[in-house]
Amino acid sequence: MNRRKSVAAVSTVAALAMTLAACGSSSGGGSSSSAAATSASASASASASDSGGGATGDPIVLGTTLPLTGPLGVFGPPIQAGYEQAVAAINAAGGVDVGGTKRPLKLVIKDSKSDPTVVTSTTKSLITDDQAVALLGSVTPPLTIPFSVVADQEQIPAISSLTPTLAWKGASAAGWKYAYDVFVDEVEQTAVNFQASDLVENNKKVYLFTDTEEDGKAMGGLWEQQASKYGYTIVGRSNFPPGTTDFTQFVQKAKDSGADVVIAQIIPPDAVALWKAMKALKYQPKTAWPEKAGTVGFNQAVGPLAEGASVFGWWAPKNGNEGGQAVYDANKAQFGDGLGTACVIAAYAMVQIMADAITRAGSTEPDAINTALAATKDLPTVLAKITIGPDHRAVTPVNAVQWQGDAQPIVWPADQATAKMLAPVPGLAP
Amino acid sequence: MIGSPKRIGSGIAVWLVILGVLLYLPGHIGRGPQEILLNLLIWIGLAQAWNIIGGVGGQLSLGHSVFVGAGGYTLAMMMIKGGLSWPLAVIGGGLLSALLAWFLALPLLRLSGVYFTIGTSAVAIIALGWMVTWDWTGEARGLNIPLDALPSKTLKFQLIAFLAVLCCVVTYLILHSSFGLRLMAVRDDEGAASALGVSPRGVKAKAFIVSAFLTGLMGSTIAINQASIEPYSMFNLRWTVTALVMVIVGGMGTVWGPVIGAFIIYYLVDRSLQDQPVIQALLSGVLIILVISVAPDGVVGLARSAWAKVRGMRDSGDGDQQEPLTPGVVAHA
Repeated sequence: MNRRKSVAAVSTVAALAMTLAACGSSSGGGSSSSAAATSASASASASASDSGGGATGDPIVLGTTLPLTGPLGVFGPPIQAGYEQAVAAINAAGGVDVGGTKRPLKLVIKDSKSDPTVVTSTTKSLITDDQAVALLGSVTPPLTIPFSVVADQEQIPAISSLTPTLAWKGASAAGWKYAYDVFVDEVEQTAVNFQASDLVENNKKVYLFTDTEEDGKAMGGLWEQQASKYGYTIVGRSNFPPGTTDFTQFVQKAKDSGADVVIAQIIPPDAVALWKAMKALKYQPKTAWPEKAGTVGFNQAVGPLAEGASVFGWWAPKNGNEGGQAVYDANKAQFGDGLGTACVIAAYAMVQIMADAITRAGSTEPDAINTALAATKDLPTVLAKITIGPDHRAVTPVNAVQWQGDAQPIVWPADQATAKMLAPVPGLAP
Repeated sequence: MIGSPKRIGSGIAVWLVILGVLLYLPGHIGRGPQEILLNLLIWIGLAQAWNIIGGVGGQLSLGHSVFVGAGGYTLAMMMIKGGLSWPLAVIGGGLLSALLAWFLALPLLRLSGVYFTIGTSAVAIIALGWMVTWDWTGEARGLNIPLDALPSKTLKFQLIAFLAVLCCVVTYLILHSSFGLRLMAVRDDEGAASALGVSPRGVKAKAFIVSAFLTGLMGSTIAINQASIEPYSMFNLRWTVTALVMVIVGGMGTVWGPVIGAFIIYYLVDRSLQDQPVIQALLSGVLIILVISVAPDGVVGLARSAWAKVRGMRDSGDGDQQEPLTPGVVAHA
């Protein structure tokens, strides 16, 4: 009888755990819902077929697994929008030319729940169940790397953005065979924090907060390496696993070090906790960088504390892109005047690159697309002009943006700047 | 062994036939069905391994994610840092998990009931916390196994099929052994079993170690299947909770319960409703509560009751008595 009671108790807890986990992940993203996940496939397919624009052949299936829910859920909707808009635009223009036949694109989207294991299973499902001939990626190394591993395993071409390229490259010792990454190079990205901090007077002391994920590890090392080159000194560094909620002791150490510059490589929920801890401990640096976390929805997550938080950016009107401003203007109202809309642009460009490769391949055979993708050179896209290198990376230009109100104007470099950098960080004023 | 050798032999023969069919399938079915079946086999192996300690032994461990992670990480480390081949690494994954279980059994099996469950879940949480900060194993970044060192798709499927069937055969043999009888006696009444000369802690420790060994083997196949592993996935409590739910839904302490439970939870609920995450989760929860309240012996128990009624028996208790090595026998008696 006791055993029955124990089984019932544990089972009830298990049932609750499973239910709560799903409810939690469904709302974790803040700007996403399960409805978005479930309707994604249907809406994308509809956009592909409804706007065929004269496309005649069978649809070409592009598959993607996005963090529509979970801790990285803020990134899912803008990426989804970018993919859907690009597919709709290409189909409206007649589809993709494959060996003289215009064929529409069909986009299939699955929710990865921000979970690398789910990324693996859903990516395989896109290939085996949905017959995707090419894959489109999501965001950050923890999701992009398992996605790329499946692409190499299954020998299906896959292209990602919004994933710093060196951390991604380092995950495959033998080099990626079917996977590609189009984004910034961390050496250039980590230099931006110092170069942009030079815009304001500061004591050149830097404190680092880095998590133990790929990019936290890689970029933390790069900031340490590059600081002296730009005249800065790293006075302290706190490492912590993702999911850390109490930053009090780390912030106290940073405050005691007297650092005027704070750089954090951190996931969104952790950045919220870090910013609140800095505010609570009355630590107001001259410049503060919640990298990765500060990109999308940071102002909604921390409210007025976001004011003055700076982040590296990856798109500017004058960075050599073609048609980027139109996509930016069309999405600014929904995804904000800043990096949320830049996510849309990055995703949009991935479809353009893949469509171009399919046309040049003249076939939907994965190997032919892969060969064409590797040969991509000087391709004008809405993100920038794209050339894929022998290591399957295409490095895009980098800049710095700062939260000012609900927008993220570019503050560095000077020739692209649309606003002046605010300092010390207004949102962290005691 | 309990039961006639002929009966046990025919039971094993059934599993060998199933294994033969599974080994033949790669290349003869589509990629999609093969992928679904592969994942189902992984879940069957995990659920069956948990069933040994949780169902047959009655010790509701929530710490088996430690053995999934240990198996996967041992395989990855042996292949990446040790340069060993995957067959050796798979065995290494199982052995290290068994060794870990041997150490953990010392403190954990001093606990019983809900305290054991809490203790094992604490171990799982500690292990995850350790792994995300352990530099040698890649911290939260995890490990990426070189693809050219991994088995082909066909071989991978056959390996997973073999190990899943192995888990089922081991459970079958335990249920038909004197060890299994002692284990069930301890599960149903530890005091009475002890009075009859059974060492409860020793019996439970052996079951815990065997269960961990099999879980470690399955964990290593998960690493082979994913190629890219990191601690949040490999040490996630989800492995244990899902396996537990599969066993409860299918029927605790039976050989076919975990197989049926894995099919229901993985295929019918998880896979078929993957585009409906909230409905999926709610259905899982409702299903467990329904099973606990309506059919506490799971689908297998329900089927046995139905079969007993068909045969005109008065209640399922009579039916159970004809199967002396099924769960609940001592409790019913």
